Amino acid sequence: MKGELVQLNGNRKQAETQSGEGLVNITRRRFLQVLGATSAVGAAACAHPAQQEILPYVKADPEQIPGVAAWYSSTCTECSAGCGLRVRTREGRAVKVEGNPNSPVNRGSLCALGQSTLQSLYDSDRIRHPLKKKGMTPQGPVFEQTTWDEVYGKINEALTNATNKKVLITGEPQAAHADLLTPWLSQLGFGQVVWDPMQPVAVAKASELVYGTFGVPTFSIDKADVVVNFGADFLETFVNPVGYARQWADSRRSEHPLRFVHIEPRLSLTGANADLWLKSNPASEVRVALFIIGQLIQRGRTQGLPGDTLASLKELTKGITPEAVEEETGIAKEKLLLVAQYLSDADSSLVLAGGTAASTSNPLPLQVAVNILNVMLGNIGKTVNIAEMAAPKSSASDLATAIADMQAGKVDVLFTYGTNPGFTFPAAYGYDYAVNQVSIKGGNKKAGLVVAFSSFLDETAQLADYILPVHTGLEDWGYTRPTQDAISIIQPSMRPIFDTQSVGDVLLTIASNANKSIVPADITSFDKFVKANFLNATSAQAGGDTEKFWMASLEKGGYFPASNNNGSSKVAINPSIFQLSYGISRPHLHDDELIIYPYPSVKTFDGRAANKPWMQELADPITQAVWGAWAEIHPDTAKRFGLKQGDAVILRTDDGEAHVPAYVTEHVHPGIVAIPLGQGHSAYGRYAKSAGQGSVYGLLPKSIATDADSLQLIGGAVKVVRGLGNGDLVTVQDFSSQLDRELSRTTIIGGAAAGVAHAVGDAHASGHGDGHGEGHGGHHEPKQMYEQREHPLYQWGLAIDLAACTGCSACVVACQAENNIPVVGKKIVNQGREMSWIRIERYYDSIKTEDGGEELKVSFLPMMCQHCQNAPCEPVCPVYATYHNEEGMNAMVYNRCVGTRYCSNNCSYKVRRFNWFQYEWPELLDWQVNPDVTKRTVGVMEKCTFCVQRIAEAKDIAKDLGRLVEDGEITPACVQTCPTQALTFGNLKDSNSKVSKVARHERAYKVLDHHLNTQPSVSYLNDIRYKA
Amino acid sequence: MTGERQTAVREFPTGVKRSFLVSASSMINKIRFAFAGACVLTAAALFVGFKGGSVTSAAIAQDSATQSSDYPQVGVRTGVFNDGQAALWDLNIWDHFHYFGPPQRARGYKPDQPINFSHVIHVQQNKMECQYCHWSVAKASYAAIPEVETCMGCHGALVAGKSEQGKKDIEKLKEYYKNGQPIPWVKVHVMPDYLKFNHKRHVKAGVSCQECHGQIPEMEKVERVSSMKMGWCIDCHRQRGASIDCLVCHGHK
Repeated sequence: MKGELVQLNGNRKQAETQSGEGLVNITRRRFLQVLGATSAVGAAACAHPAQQEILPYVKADPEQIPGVAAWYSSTCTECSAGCGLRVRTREGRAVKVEGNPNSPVNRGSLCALGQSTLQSLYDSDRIRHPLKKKGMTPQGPVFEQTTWDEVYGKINEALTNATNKKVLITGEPQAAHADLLTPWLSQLGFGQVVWDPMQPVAVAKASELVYGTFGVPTFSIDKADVVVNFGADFLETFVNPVGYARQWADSRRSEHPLRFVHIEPRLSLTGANADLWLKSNPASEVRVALFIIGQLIQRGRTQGLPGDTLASLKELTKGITPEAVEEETGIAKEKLLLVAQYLSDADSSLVLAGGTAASTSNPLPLQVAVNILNVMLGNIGKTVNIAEMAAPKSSASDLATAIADMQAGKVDVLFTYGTNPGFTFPAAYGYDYAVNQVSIKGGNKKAGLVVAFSSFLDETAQLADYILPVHTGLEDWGYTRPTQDAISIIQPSMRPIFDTQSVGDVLLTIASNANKSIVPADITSFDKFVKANFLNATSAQAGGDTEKFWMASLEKGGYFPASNNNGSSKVAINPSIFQLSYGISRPHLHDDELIIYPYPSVKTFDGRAANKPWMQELADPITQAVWGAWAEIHPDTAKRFGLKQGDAVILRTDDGEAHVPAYVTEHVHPGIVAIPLGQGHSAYGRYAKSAGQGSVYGLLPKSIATDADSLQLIGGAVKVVRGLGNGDLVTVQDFSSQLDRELSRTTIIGGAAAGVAHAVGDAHASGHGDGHGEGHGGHHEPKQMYEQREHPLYQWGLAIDLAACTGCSACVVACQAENNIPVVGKKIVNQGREMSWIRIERYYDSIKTEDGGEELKVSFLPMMCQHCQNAPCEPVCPVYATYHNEEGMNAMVYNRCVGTRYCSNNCSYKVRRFNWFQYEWPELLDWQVNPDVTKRTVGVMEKCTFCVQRIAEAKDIAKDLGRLVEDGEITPACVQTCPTQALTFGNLKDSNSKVSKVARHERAYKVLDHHLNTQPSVSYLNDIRYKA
Repeated sequence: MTGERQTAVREFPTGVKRSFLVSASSMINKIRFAFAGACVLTAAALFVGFKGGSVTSAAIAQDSATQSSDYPQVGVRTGVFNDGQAALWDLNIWDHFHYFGPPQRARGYKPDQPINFSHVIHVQQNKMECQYCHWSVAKASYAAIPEVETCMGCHGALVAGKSEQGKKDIEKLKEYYKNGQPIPWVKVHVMPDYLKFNHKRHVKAGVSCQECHGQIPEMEKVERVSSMKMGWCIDCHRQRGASIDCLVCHGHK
């Protein structure tokens, strides 16, 4: 019965078919048989469990009170942003992560990937002890258990015998590892290759050319009035999505919201939040940037520019007419002029480029043009901070060179950790073949050694001869440097689960075995190294008592000085930028080909989150698809290829093929096929392997954007072939129209020429019946059929500011983690039986523009139980399992529920979830289960509880202090993690509480209330859009 | 517990196995129904007899024992009937009938423990406070079972035990401690998964330990003396004016 959370194999299918047949063609005799079997099963299920044991600690842990959570500060290691974490542990196990409010990076919030870091720790497929490759089978390599000493012995032997190169391939190293690696690499004679496909290396290179320093600047989106963005997905995966989303939202809900224009061939989540999304031809963005430069020169907005460059720029942009650019980019010239107008009128602005749109074969010119724009507009030192630059070390050409060396037998020893080039590098380069060359031949025709330091048997680790399992982020020590002065400490929040070691300790042991002293003698382990380095860096602050300062910093999460370093606006433009080619380079396409457009999604990033069931089951905010990849194709193109929604599609290049379902959407360029990165793993774990067949990286051509040292994502031609039958596309929302029900409302502000204006009025999105709005909303006093409730002390309520909600779905994962919501798998989601308590509804509307045209308006609507005061679910429950309590909550009593599902049928918001099956957590993932929340059993209904366990905890604490719960003491999981703080929770009974104030806001409304008089406790605030 | 998703429909055994199960189950059911009938008759007899005041079950004996104790008491509530009186559905025999719940959830549950720990010696004779060992009872929702270390505080060097059995048990305790192993105490008050009981709130509200757990100081072996069924909880909540909102106890843990 060792089970899986989600079973997607054949057995299950078979069982389903059999039982299905049995129930449809049923005879009386058969019915009685079934009944008999049912009662047998029932009796077996009722058999009492063996007596329960209650185990005490052997020795008391002073930090642990049984039943009371202990929190530890740490830092997220899922991506290189370095968000601060607070890890909630119960009885020594991490059960939930939240953002650390002290950290300047994320200010208490986390993204979906950060929330799911627990599923790295509790990954069921983790490597539990050192492994040695036993041999190969057709199913893949087979490993057997070995000891640490044996592997260390082998490593030492290999290092002694090695005559050729020694290579260490890492991900973008955290600061602590970087500090350790500097002496380690030189002493042991290793060459380091860094590979992290998510690093915006082109941005850093362009900074070097225009600002004089290599690095990614820090942007202040909140200080800009106008943001023009060439594809950078700063609300999703770009550099620091949590921090940038907060900045963006802070501006959007302020008195003077920024105006946001997004230019990209595909509608990304970031683009969906823009006031104006311009669908550009693939790889043509550089022409738009040049055109805007030309326009700004014409309008005299060149104040930031050194005089000598102006002439060259004039030369460069000469002859770029609106008509020509319209032709090249596919964007109407009126829109292009409008964008130039916005920028030239704005006091403060920001121009960004990144993401897939900027990952062409020739990405530097666009980045340089964007930097020039920022210089011209005087943004340097204001919205672009070039004093705080992070220099990414990732290099595609280094990796390509290393692979070539390996293939040529020039490498004797290869170590890998923290990266997965076997998956995230174009398969055309033949990384797997290269590693095998090291393994078999090495130098001098003797066998080389390949060791992976990894906790996961991914595509890279399974090529290794030996695997040393290392701690995951929540078990390890370390630190990151989010800004130049700040240090964010990575502290273990629990003991290692398995026989693993810290990467730092592994490196130290390898060095000491080789008799190299890379650290002072008193530093015998990596945690001491971390502590010593931290105290060195902060010696000025520590004062006399360093131990006390260290403990205080651990508690705080690190050392975070206030940074006022905005730097100078002094730039150093390298004249070589005028030698770059600013044309469009696109391949010639045959009739059966499209340009491939692979993009990192919030679900999987570059593929690192693919084995996390939470992330697989998370509905992609744009396509609403779950489990596996899909191919976004324009309807016209789909027609040309004879494809319908959900059809199987085979994407094929000379290098490989991927099988994905078609997702037909108007919101991609007709010339591209967009597909999320990171699915279609052939290793890594059961969930990663079950989702999709064929990886996008396998399709990419053997071409690196050499000038920027990054991966070329866009621009390759791919054959699109219709596959057989259904492609297994599962989405949780198939309908994109609001049908005039005003579920998500929008306030239209400003006009085209008005520049930045105050929020005015309550003009609903066009195409929506204004008839509903008039005289309804919150003003009406309808006749009440039911007795109205009294709330003596508390009336819990939630308010959601749609102007701040980006649809990033962090709340969905946070809720899943907090409330023990099972992951049900693709098949059951397809039956409409997904379990998530909160979903992000996505609607496509249109708003009228000044010139009478229509612009796309994408709405995201987080939808959870509305805790209605006139709840439709309550009167229909025959057993009083759902009822209204005196704190204004729509309560759900699981043990009373008999599963009639009347409540769900009668729910106007469709937020109730029924346990059709008994869902069990597989081994290890069950360690994450929150002990404060009941695990529901088969046959009961469940739904959002406003995190009642947190309310109970806050009331408990307040009662100890002899007072009522104060405002801000209760934050449900969704509210806590929201990167933009779009959600506010509190007591509506208290008119001074934050949530009451938000709920009284002029933009506030309640979903469906004016139709149904359900009186929800959840208020929404209208989204804000500028009129284009 | 891990396992494949279990559903009545989806996990039917198939083929030969199924017909075997059907016959087996019908046999089991026959026995069960016969047993149920016997139980109902016995219980009815007991109930009638009890009404006449002639029945003393173990649990009721325990109730009467509490009447003469020195410790504070409000009485042991045993069901929806009055104090000290067992309701029909509160009798052990019902609880042993598994359709209604496992024996671990019944009054009179008195499992053997790995170490014969005596509350009589510790509390009644040596006057130790409950909270000396169950230190978290006023701090958390759990009343902690004391760490092995706490036992060793006295038994490590000072107290070696008087009786032969006592000496043996203390040796056993030391063995656990030496091996770094927790003592696998058997849980007496087993509660279902779908409810929250917060010890701290009850202790701080002035509910004494004995009100629910009975006269622990007089127990050589801890026994469940209260039904701890919902009616029993609600009864007290009503009497004391505590909240009887479902969400106070249900919906979370």
